[in-house]
Amino acid sequence: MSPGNDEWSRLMRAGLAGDAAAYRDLLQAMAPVLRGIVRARGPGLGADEGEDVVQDILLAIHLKRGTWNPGQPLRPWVYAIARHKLVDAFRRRGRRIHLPVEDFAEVLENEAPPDPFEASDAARLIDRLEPRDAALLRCLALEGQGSEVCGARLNLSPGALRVALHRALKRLAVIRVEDER
Amino acid sequence: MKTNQLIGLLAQDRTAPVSRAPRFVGGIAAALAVSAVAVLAVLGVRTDLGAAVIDPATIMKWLLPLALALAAGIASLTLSRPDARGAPSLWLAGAIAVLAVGTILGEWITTPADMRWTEMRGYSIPGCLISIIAIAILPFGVAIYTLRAGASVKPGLSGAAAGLATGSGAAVAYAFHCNEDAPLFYLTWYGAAILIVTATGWLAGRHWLRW
Repeated sequence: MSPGNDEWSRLMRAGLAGDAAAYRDLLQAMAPVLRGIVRARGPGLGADEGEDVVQDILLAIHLKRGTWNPGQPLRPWVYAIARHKLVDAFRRRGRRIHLPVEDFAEVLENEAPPDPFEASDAARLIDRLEPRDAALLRCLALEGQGSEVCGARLNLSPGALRVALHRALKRLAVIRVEDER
Repeated sequence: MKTNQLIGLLAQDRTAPVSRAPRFVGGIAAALAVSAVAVLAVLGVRTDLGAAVIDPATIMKWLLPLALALAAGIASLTLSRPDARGAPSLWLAGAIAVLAVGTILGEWITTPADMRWTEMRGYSIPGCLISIIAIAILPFGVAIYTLRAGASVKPGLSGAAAGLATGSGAAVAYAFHCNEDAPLFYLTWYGAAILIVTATGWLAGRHWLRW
């Protein structure tokens, strides 16, 4: 087997060539693996924080996928990104001022969520975007509407929606990095 | 936002990633050409250029910074991949720097004591420093901007390599004007200007190349 011929590399190549279904499959296959990495390498992180890091990693994988060399296997590249994001998470954690009362309230409220990883970061992340970006992501992600519905609601043409979505995702990543400063 | 919802969002984003290498190389080359032409239009080109570019004694003024620029440029691109295991061309850049420092020392020792400062000082230190830095500003900005699409796990080093590449490129351009050919002069002050741009790159990288 030549390097880069494994399932993940194959799916990423398909994704880069425009196959959205293959790309979604890839991200879905990666998520549990990343969760395992974060749990093993970051045992000090709570479930919420750990899932935040998983999301950071997925976002970075998406935005930085152009830095993968398709002639190489994908996994070492994914692990390099995961490691980078974990290091950042610990750096951020070291500097963060904890507000335990609120944290506890959230933990208690979310005691038995249907998805154990449903963190409170909808508020933390999306609400910090500009209102239009936030509305777009909320429509597409939280409400799960298709791009036609969301485009009509926000008065965006398909092309404009495409640009707006990409920008909103980039800003989401920037907000996370700025948190660390 | 659940992780599954995020994945849904990411899969809907069809914007293709940009290819960095052509933008990086082309952007820097274009920016360097514009800056160099602008500055040389003001300062003028040395009158004996034709003779200087074929004289082995003066050709090093172009070859050394050119080699540095290429090595450091390749290093910036290599480092922009998160899974990069170091950048071998950075060692080449380091070797060129050591060679330059060694030559400065050698010249210092072999030059008669009463001539050393005169040779090193020359007559155009401020012009040399200011011009090289001025030429470097635009390509440097382009380099940092295009590297933002990369994913370096060593942002400071990446920025420094970009500064080294563009500072050296600016020195190559400035050498078309500068007619001070004493190695003690140009190695010292070209080197100082390149170091300033490199240090700026380190700071810029730590600030703008984080992700």
